This record gives sequence, structure tokens and C-alpha cells, in this order.
Amino acid sequence: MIEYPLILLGGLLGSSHCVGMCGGFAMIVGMNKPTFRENLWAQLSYSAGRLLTYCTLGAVSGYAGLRLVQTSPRLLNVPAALCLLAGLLLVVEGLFATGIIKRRGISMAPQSGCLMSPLFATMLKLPGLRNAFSAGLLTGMLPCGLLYAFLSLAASTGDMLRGMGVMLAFGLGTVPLMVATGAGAMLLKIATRQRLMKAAAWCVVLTGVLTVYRGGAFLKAANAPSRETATPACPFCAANDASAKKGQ
Amino acid sequence: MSSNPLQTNTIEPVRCDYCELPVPGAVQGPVFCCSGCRFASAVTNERGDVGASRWMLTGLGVSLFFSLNVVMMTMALWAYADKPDTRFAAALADFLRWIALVFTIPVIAWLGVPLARNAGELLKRRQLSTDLLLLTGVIASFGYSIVSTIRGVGHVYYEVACVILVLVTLGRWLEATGRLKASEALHALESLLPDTVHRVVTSPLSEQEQEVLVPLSEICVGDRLRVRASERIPVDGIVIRGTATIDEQFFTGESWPAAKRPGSTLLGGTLNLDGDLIVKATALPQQGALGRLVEAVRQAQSAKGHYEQLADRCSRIFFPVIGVIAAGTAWWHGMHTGAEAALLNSLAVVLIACPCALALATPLAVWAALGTAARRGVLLRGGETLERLASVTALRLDKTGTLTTGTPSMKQFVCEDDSERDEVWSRAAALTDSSTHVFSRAVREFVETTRPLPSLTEVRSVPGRGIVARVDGEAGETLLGSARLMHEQSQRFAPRLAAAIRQWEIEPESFVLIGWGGEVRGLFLLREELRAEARDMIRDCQSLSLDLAVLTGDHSARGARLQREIGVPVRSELLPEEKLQAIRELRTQGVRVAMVGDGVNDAPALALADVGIAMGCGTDVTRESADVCLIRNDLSSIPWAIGFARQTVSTIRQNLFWSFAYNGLGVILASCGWLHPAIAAALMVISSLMVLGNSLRLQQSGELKSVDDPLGMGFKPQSTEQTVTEVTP
Repeated sequence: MIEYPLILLGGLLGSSHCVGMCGGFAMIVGMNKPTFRENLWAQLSYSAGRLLTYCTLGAVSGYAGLRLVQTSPRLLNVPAALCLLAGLLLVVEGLFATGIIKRRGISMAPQSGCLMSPLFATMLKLPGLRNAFSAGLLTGMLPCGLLYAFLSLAASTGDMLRGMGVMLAFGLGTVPLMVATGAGAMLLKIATRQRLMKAAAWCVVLTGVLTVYRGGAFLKAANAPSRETATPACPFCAANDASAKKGQ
Repeated sequence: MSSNPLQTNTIEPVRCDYCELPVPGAVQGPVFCCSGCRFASAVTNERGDVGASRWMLTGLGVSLFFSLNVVMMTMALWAYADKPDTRFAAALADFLRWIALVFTIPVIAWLGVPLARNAGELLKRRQLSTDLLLLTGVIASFGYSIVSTIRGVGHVYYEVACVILVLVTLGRWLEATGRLKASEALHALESLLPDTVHRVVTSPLSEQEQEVLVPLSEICVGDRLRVRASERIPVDGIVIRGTATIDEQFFTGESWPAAKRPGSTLLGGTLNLDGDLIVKATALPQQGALGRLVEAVRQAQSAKGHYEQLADRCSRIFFPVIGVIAAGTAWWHGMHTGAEAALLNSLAVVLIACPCALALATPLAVWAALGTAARRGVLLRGGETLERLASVTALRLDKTGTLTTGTPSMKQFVCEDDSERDEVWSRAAALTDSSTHVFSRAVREFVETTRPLPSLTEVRSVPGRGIVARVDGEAGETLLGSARLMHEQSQRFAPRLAAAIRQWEIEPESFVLIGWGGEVRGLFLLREELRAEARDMIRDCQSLSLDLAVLTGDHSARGARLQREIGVPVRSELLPEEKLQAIRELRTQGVRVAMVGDGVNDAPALALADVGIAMGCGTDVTRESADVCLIRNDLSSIPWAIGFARQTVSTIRQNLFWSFAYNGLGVILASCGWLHPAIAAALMVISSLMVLGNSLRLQQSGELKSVDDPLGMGFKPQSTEQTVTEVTP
């Protein structure tokens, strides 16, 4: 099996990134809710919306991965390549977040985001769980490097349901912190938040490195089919998974 | 007020109810330029009908939800039940098909119906639209899928119908928002006028004054309004009561606020800093200085430039061409692969070719640029002016009032007998007090005296010479004016002043003399001042590699000195016809030349140049001779405007290139059958977003290059939600 717990962890650790990017939306959802209970429900609907979008995207990626495996020549190890891609994306995204590498042409990105804002603003401020849910659906579609990294991971599974699973695990991982943010439990000092962001950024880098390693394990497994049993049973790599696949 | 026939006769292009941009060939009633605007206006409609707005939003959310589910179902169908070999797989396939059908119906109902309505409306205006093609595609794929579902065999394309509807709606909506943003700068200008004002009315019974809060639109000429401190002046008017300092920087460029007292004129949109005023309106809000500026920008938006016409022509032939390609694709794939491929591929062609990006490429950049420029105090007459300004390689400047402030300042004062200085000053102050001549004003500003001014009798001005008056109780006259006046009135020059005059006559300067009792007593040396920003402006223009020269009618010695000072060739002692000739020569050499002047004295030269730039239009933005009006007397606007025009034109070229390349390549891929319609729909949205983002960057760059506060009125751009900056990683 793929390491769902690790992905869950990746979501959990990476979710400071989500709080930084989409936390504002969660706060708006919570703004007009009179009671904590109502706010919690709204936050859960919002996150459920995000999860549904993530799952759909995961399913599409998984299916796309499957088609890629089917159509690409045998020589190309698609899961390994996708894994490596996902890992690299995660590392790059993490390094962006740590501030070690600077983003160029940033002026382009917020503009397209700004165009969405009037729709979001209207939707987020409206009462009713269905609007929070709709806003969540849309939030899931916003461009996000972390999301793309996990989507390539989902594609590397080469299966629709497993791709969905990957994204579900990732999404669930992001839920606690996002709900906490929206529910007002995240009234931390800026310094604390910055430290948390920094830690989260390194966690994303770590997840990326592990994913790259997993890709390497895929390659190794493909190259050395006879030594299946010798593959170490490391919980952080997919060697077992890869060898299991080989055995199918 | 009865309707003004002149007003009804002016041809006002019909504007979209949402984004307020001109709609070609529109009809009466609420008009939207696209379904995006219709949708956006329904969503954000704040005028009462909240129910409808929520309904639209709910519709979008629900459609999104169902679409995502439909996508998952069809994915599952492909992944697990593509070729049902077991009974379970067959049952699963059947189940998935039926449930997908059920989930598709709400999407069609909620998003398909508005699209159909829009297509129908355009059809009524005798316009074939891409909406119509898309609708046909959606109906065809939906219909085909229903047949497959009922028969239990064959592919279903519910996800195509759903994804197209959702993405087209979202994409159009984003475009509408983008267009609204493009006119944001203009709205920011308009928002300088308050929505409601306090009208002062005298109650007929008690004859007491009362204040009534009324909407700005109800104000008539002659109404009295109360404007408190830190409120904006709502209309052009005159102060009736009270004093205040007013920040007029937007119109005058003067960073120092102007003091206003009863009788002073006020401009709508300026800021009352500290006083409590009663103001009498002298113009309707939309006919005041600010209203005319906004109107001028509006008109500029409807004037189409060369690129815009190119895009228009392309858009016009685009539709039939795409129709033919789509039909060809359908026919070819129908012959070779089957009806399904024919349907999907022609649908993909229509989606990817949807000329949204192309149609947006130019106007959006132009609109954004015109609005941004206006906010920075530069009024451009339209897209064509922008293009011409961008191509300018030579710049000719007028001197007086353009490079120089036009009002001379005091350089030196010489007194024959130093003990007489106070007497000379107070007499000079008294004589110049009533005069409006620029020299008099300069002298009056200079001679600040605390002594009470002597009272004058028999004040008369001698045209071209000066002022003559009699100080109370004196027999002789006091004279203030040129050397010629002194000679004519046989005033004697004492040695000190005579020496000073001889010295300065070599270097031609202007001076004003004052004398009484048969003797010249004092001399004021005046000098035309270069504007503070003139040197920076010349440096900036040179870095834009513009060929600069100054054309002036002034004395050649002064011209030579100016040339030494600023390092730019100066041609002096030119008659107005010779200025024209200079411009004409450049033009016959094929040089694109812009002429900068005040727009009044040098109007012919401005009109003859490729681009005429008028300085300090202030409230008079309708100066016909100028293509570009600088509202403030700020020379630094010139290099900014030229740089900005170049940037805009390069943005337009990028947009056009991008949308042509993207659409062209996409059509080829789609007609070969390598592009799934759902992906084509997503790509189409991305393409539009690229063009939108690229154009709206112009607004940003306009702000970045400007000073901290472009309006100089404590203005801040209307920021949308704070969360915006947090949206994207």
C-alpha cells in the first residue's frame, strides 16, 4: 500500500502553508457566525467542499496516471517519474516557503487570484452552510504548488481510487489547522505564526525528499526484480508497495 | 430641469450594465456585453434583489458540486467499467451512467439556461455567437449521452457538458471582473465625489436654515450646500460663507493647500481640510471639472485605436472561420472515426477557438491604461493616441509656461538709498496690490511689508508701461513699471540704479522700476524660473532616447542661456508660423513628433504635431487642440506618459501574439482530435486569465511608478477584500 499515514502527515504539516494562503477565507467564513457551534459547522462544510474538489482532482490524476502507464512505452517507468516529479515539486515548494529561493514574476499570480475575489467575497459572507461548501469547492481549484505536488503523487499511483485516497489523506491532513484557524483558535502572535510557517516549510521539503526517495525505490524495484525480498521494509518509502506491485 | 436637446443629441454609446464598457450595436433596456457580465451583475447585484443574487451563487455552487461528482463517475466508468466483462461491471456501468445523468440535469438547468438566454438575445440582435456554438455542443453531448444511457451501450459525455458549462460560466465571470477592474481607476476618480450631500434649505415658515441630506444627483445649480471639514467638495461652486484651506493638488499640482474665503471658487472633488463652508453650486455634479474629466476618459474608451480595429476585424472573420473549421472537423472525424469523435472534436475546436482572449486582448489593455493615466493626471484622447504617443521619437517643447513656470520670480532688489527701503516696499505693495499683471504679482509677493499700505488715489495703468498713482496727500505721482515709463515721465536715474541697469541690459532680464518725486528709487529684477522638475524630465526623456528641442519666441540671448542651463538645443525668436514650420519639417522627414505647450497660445503647433500635449489643463480637459492633456503643471508626467504608452502598446502586442498563437495552435490540436473538450474548456479559461492578468498589470505599473499618492488627495485605490493577497501561493 502507499503510505497514506505519511501523506496525512504531509497534509497536516504542510497545512500551515494552507493557512497562510487560504486561512483568510476560513476566517471570513467564521466572521458572521454568532456562535462557536455554528462557526464550527460552517468551517467543516468549507473544508468538506475543499475535500470534494481534492478528491475529484485526485481521481482525475489517478486516472490520468493509469492512462499514462498504459500508453507510454515500457521503457519509461511512469510511477517512478511521477514520484520524482512530485518529490521535486514538494521540495521546490517547500524551499519557496522557507524563503531560500525567491519567486520570480510574482506580480502575475495575485492578479488572477484577485479576479476571483469578488465571487469569493460574496460567497463567503453569505450565511448558510451550502455557500461555505461552495466556497470550499472553489478554494480547492485555486492554483497551489503544494496541491500540484500531491496531485502528481496521486497520478503516480496509477489508479483512480488510490489517487482519490491520496488526495483525501492530504485533504484530511489539512482540515485540523484550517478549521482551527477559521474557528478563531489560531490567534497566535505573528512571530509564532512565522516560526510555525518556517517549520511547516521544512516539513514540506522533508515530505518531498521522502517522495523522491520513494521514486528512487520504484526505479530500484524495477531494475532489480529478483531481489524483492531484500527491499528494506521502511515505513517512509514505497519499496514494499513497488515490490508488491511487481508481484501482481 | 427640462431635458436639454443638446444632451439628448450627443451620441452616447450603449454601455454594459455591469462593466460599463461600450457594447457595439446594443438595444434598449439592461444590456450586458457578455454572459459573464450578466452573471456577475446577478451575483453582485446590491440594489435590492439579494434573493436573485443568492440564487445565482447557490446555482454555481450546486453545479460545481454535481459537476465534480459527474467527473468522478465518468472517471470510474472509464477506469472500472469501460469494457464490462462481468455482470457486476455491467451493472456498475449502468448504475454510474444513470446516476451521472441525474447529476447532470441540475447543472444543465442552472447554468445552461442562462447561456441559452444570452445566445438567444444575441441572436435577436442578429449576432451569431460562440455562446450559440457552445450551447449546441452541450446539448449534443448531453443528448448523445442520454441515448447511450437508455440503450445501455456506448459512451456517455455528461462530464463534457458539465465541465463546459461550469468553466465557461466561471471564465466569463472572471473576464467580467477583469473588465470591471479595468475601469476601476475611473471609478476611483468618480468616487471622489460623495454620494450624498447636505443641502441647506430655508424653511418658509420660520425662516430658519435647515440641513437636508440628499443624494448628489438631486443637486441643481444654485443650491446651497454645507461642506464640513475633511469632507470633499461635491460640486463646482462658490464659497458663500466660511473660510477653509482646500487641497486642490489633483487639479493644480500645487502641494500647498489653497485658502478659500467667501467668493472663492471651488472645484468638485477637492478636499476641504479644515473649514466649515456653505457653498453655492455653479454646475451640476457631472458637468463639473471632475465630471468632464471622467466623461472625457469615457469617450476616449470608445475611440478605437489601430490595434483595436485589427482585433475587431479578426473577431469578425473569426466566427465564420471557426464555424467552418468546426464543421470540417466534424465531417472528417464523422467520416473516419464516428459520430462521437465528430461531436467531441468539433466541440473542442469551438471551445479552444472561443475568441475571448482575442477580443479582450486590446480593449482591456487600452481601458486599463486610459483609466490609470487619468488617475495620474494624464488624459489621453483614446487608444489611437496611446499608440501614436508610444511611437513618438522626437519631443518639441515650448518655453514660457511649459519649461518655465510662466510666472516670474524675484531675483534681486536694488535700492538707490538703503534707508528708503521700507518706503519703497510699501509703495510698491500698494501699487501692485490691485494689478493682475504677472510682473506686478511677482513684485507684490516679494514685498512683504508689515507697515500699513499708503492709500492711493487716481490709480491708472499705462498699457505696456506700468502703473501710475498718487499717494494720498502728495502732489507728485508715484510710478511703477518699465524703464521706458520712467524715461517718459522724466524720472531721473541715480548712479547706483543706472549702473545696475547697464549691467543687466547686457544679459537680458526683466526688471520693474519704482520712482516718485522725479527720481527712480528702486529696481526689482525678475526672472523666469525653470520648473523644479524640468531637469529630471529632460533626463528621463533622454533615457527614453527622445530627440529633444525647445521652440521659443523669446529673445535669443535668453534662449542661449536656457540651452546652457538644460543642455537641450533651443531655437529662439521663432514666430508662431516658424514653430509650425519646424514641426512640419520634422514630420516630412518621417519623424514622429510630439509638441508640448500650454495648448492656448501654441494650439496650431500642438494640432500639427503627431501628438499635441497640453500642460496644466487643470479643469479644462476639453482643449481641442491637444491629444494629451496634463491636468497638472507637472513636466514629469510627460516622460511617464510616453513610457506608459510604450508599455501599453507592448502589452497589447503580447496579448495579441499570445491569443493568436494559443488559439491557432489549440485549433490545430483540437481539429486533429488530440484535445478533449473538457481540457479545451479549462485551457480557454487559462488563456483569458493570462490576457486579463497581463493587461491589469498596467494598472499596477502605473501606480508603482507614480509618487506615493498619485492623486495627491489622500486617495487610496479601492481595495477589494483583504484576503486577496493571500489567495495564491
